[in-house]
Amino acid sequence: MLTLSESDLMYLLTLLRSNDQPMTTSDLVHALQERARK
Amino acid sequence: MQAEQILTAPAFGGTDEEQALAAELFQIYLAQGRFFSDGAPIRLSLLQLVEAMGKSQPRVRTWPRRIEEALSASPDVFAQEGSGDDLSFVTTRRGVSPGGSSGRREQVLTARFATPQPKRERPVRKAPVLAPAESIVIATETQTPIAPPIDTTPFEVVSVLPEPAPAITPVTAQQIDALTATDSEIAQAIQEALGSEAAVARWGDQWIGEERLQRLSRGDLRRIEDFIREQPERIATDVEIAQDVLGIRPNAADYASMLFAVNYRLSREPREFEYLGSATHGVWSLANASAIGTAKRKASEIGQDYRVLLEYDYSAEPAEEGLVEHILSYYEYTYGVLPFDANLRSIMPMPGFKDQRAVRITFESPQTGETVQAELRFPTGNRGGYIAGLETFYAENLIPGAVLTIEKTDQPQHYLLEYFRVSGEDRKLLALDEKKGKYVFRPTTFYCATQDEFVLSENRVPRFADQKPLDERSKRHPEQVIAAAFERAGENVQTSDDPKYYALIADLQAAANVERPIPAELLRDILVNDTHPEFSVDESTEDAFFYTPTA
Repeated sequence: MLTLSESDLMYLLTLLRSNDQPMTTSDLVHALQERARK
Repeated sequence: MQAEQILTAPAFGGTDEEQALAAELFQIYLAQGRFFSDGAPIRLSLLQLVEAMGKSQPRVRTWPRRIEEALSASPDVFAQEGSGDDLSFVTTRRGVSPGGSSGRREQVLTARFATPQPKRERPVRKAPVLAPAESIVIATETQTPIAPPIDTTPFEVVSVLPEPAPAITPVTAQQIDALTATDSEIAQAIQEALGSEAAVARWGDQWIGEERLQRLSRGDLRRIEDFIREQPERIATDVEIAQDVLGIRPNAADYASMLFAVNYRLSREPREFEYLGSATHGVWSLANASAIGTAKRKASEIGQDYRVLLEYDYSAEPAEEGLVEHILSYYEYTYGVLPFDANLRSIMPMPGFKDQRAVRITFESPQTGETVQAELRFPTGNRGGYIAGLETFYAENLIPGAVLTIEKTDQPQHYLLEYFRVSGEDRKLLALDEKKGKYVFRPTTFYCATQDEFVLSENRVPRFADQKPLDERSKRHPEQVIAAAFERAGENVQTSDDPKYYALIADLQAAANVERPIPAELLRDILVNDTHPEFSVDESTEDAFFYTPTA
């Protein structure tokens, strides 16, 4: 089973809570990848 | 529960007489505190107790002394408060004295609000320090005794190092690294993690913070229900609901989230609404609406028949992208169904919600110009998936053995169902005489192209005539269905007393699929597998088999 780190999960939750528009899984994948690169 | 607790009398002290009186008085306490929680103090003054006892025996003048002595002799059960005229005794439904609390409840809600506890300190989480190759944590269920203590933690986190194998298979949780993991691995981890978050709403492949979604009032829900009821097909799309009922304009900034809100909020009202849309297009019906399908066989039974698809789900080579070719079996023709196998799954919509029952789809026939409403029923635990609702279309236009193509279109949940029209052909074809409960051959004129191997005509399978359909119990065993197919479509190469049937696999497949779905892979497995010695391979001819009935 693949899981997210707690930090990644918190990041996604914050992202979703602060966004008025729905995001696709693909959007979230890119968001995590962007965050990891920084 | 309460009766059990009342029957468990506490141990009273003192003389036998005092114990008996204490037990009697304890019953008065239980009656007085019958609506109290088990640990709440029940307080009765000596005067109240005397009055209660005096009702049954009014002439006894020594009640005050006797009661005081009896209750004082059981300090573990009754706590004494006050003295003289204010003397009272306190106990609980558990039969335990409230003790040093002087009978007052320490845990009073108002007091708890008035004196909040200090904020709890959160334990500092330490990042697991693991060797690179072992960046894996395992949630291992500890082996618990038969009666586990309540306060033990059932899970613990341990590193994946060589240790004695636990009795229960561990659930392995592998934390992903967004820099090195593939897109699909990250997507899988996201779905796993967010899928269990109550604060996140999901519809199909889209996510949003639950509190970001507009809520629907009871009035909105009622108007949506009325709107769906007024529709000719008793279904409405999320777009229709958003625009016509809620008055949201397509150019509104929050239009996409409104469609999401409509779908998500209605999905939370399963007693009123049922989702019949896909992962990308919302379609709603009323929860009590009649489902599409045949009246000849229950939907659950057809699902059971297609259980084989859960195991035998192979994909044939696709004819072309978005198009599936299919040869109609007798079973499919009879019940107006199509199997939700790997081929059809490649072009069918994905569900919008977990545990979704069905998706409403439409089939357009360019040959007849009609559009047929059908339902794709998703597989459940032990039932296979299938498409229902084509019974009338099949009966009016096709025969078992007809070649169909099903093609995806640009419109969501809308498909082209095509067959080749040919000039009329007359044959005596297999049918079930429902009055007699027997198979017969009926003269039939048909206008569709067929794959001849799958057409059950009198010339090919004459022994079907006057045969009764197999009973339900036999149908559940594919090997019994195949044995019957040998007898009906094969040739007896020995004597009638000692029969041995010979048949080609194509004939067997057509004949076996009269009774129930038997995918080609399952048929071949049973014929070749050693677990069914009654079937054997004809080494001299390709795809030919024998069946020797066992006594």
